[in-house]
Amino acid sequence: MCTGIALASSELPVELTRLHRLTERVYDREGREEVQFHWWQVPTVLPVRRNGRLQILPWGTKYRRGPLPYGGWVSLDHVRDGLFTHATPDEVVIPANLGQHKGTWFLITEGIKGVAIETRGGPVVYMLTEPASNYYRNMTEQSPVMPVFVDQVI
Amino acid sequence: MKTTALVGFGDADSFYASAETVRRPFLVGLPVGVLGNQGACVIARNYPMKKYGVKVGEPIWEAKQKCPQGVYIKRDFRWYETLSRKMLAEVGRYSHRVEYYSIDEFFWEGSANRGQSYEQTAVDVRDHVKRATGLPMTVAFARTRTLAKLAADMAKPFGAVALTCPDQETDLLRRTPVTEIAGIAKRSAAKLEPHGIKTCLDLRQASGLLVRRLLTVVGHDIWRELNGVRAVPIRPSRSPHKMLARGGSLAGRVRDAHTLYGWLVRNIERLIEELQFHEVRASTLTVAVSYFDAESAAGVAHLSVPSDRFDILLDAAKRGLRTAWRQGKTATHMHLIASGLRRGPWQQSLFEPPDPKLDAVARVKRAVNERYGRWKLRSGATLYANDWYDDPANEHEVCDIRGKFCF
Ligand SMILES: [Mg+2]
Repeated sequence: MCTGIALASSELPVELTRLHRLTERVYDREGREEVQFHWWQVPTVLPVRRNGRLQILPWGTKYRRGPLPYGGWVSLDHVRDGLFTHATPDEVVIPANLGQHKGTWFLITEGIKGVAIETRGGPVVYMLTEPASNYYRNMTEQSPVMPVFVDQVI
Repeated sequence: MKTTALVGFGDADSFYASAETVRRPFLVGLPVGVLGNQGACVIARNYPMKKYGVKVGEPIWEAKQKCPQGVYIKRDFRWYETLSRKMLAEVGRYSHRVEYYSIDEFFWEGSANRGQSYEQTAVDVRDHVKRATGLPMTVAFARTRTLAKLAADMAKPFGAVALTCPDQETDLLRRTPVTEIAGIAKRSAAKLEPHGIKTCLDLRQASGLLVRRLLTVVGHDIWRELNGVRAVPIRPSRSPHKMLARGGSLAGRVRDAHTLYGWLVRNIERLIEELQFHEVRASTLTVAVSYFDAESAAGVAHLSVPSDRFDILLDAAKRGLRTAWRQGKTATHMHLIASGLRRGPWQQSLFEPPDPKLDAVARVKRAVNERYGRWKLRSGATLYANDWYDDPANEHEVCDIRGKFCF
């Protein structure tokens, strides 16, 4: 799994930062500013590149009783098997420089693949996952799944 | 101290981590740890991560506790090799003789840039490599490889130094513990300590015989290198010698077979010295003799296994000389040519009888000659050429200028 990402501040347009109050998410890593997006943060959001536009979208759902799958992650296989038959899943990219799981920050070269689902309240994004490689498991204290990376093998 | 030809040494600073930073500018300034094959251990880390006390070989779960802000990356040896070869090519602009020592370390036959000192040249090499490859490298010049490597280790990161005067050498060696020398592990250091040898300077000032006794030939070579004697040559990665040869004029006309035999043995001894310098063994030996009053003749002997051992080469040379020998004729020149050169690691052959005793004799001979001068200890067979040996002018001859072909 991947419970958080970091994106260099310079990659986020100023108006997006202001609109979504992202300054509260700015962290200093050895003197360098980045915006972090974690599952535990409220509101729970992710940056998403969709149709060539960078947006900030709600990340999955923490409500168990809604129509949406609970959580922020869906497996690639489930999506292929028709998890979202009632809605129209839209393939998106979650841009990131770093990902985090169990306290390990790892490099992401392009981003993570995701799906955006249209709901009555607007689009929601999920991270796509697949079974973790041995490497990823060792790196993340045995996480059984890993994000689907864009042109990157870990 | 003569500074005409120093050994150059370049060593990329935290190479794997730097290589990642080259293609991911996001990482500049961040603590970076490269993980090994299984993703469990840190196999390399950069200086910012080192600051947190993360060690090479440390498991990731310990590393991330020491350095929670660190970025961990999967290793990519294909990329590292690409950059490594790029560095090799850039260093090659400064010397035709570059040794590809390891993926990020290079030795070369150094020379100062025209109009520049060695210090300035070191800065130039370092800055050039950074510009051309994006990689930070520490560059050092010194009389020998061991000295250059020590100087670089102490100048890291992004250092550029040259040991051009004795004081600089002494100063460096005094503040460097012997364990800093590659090849002197803790166990060796423990053997040296009872003799009061703790720093590299102690080691340099120790007796060579003592060092040999404690640390064998390998340690002795290090001792020589610390003393400014090049014990290990620069081995260019490309175009190693196709053949090595020793010999020349017989210092007059030789008709007597015993005298000719004496010269043969002498030339074998010199040839072996050369083979060992280049760390190669011969698979073919050719004995060529020129005559005053007959056509030149040559005899070729093939060895069942490449060798640099005296008894085996002498045996082959005798066979060669038998073919090249013209009874009753006057010989003027003799050349001994080793070809089919092979570099280690040596496969122990079924045919070359392992002979620790002969190997030991060869080592002692080499050691005595190193300590007391060339040819002080030589094969008894060379007595026939004694008057030649007595002339000090003959100690170093034109073909002893290494790197050029003999004839
Ligand atoms: Mg290095």
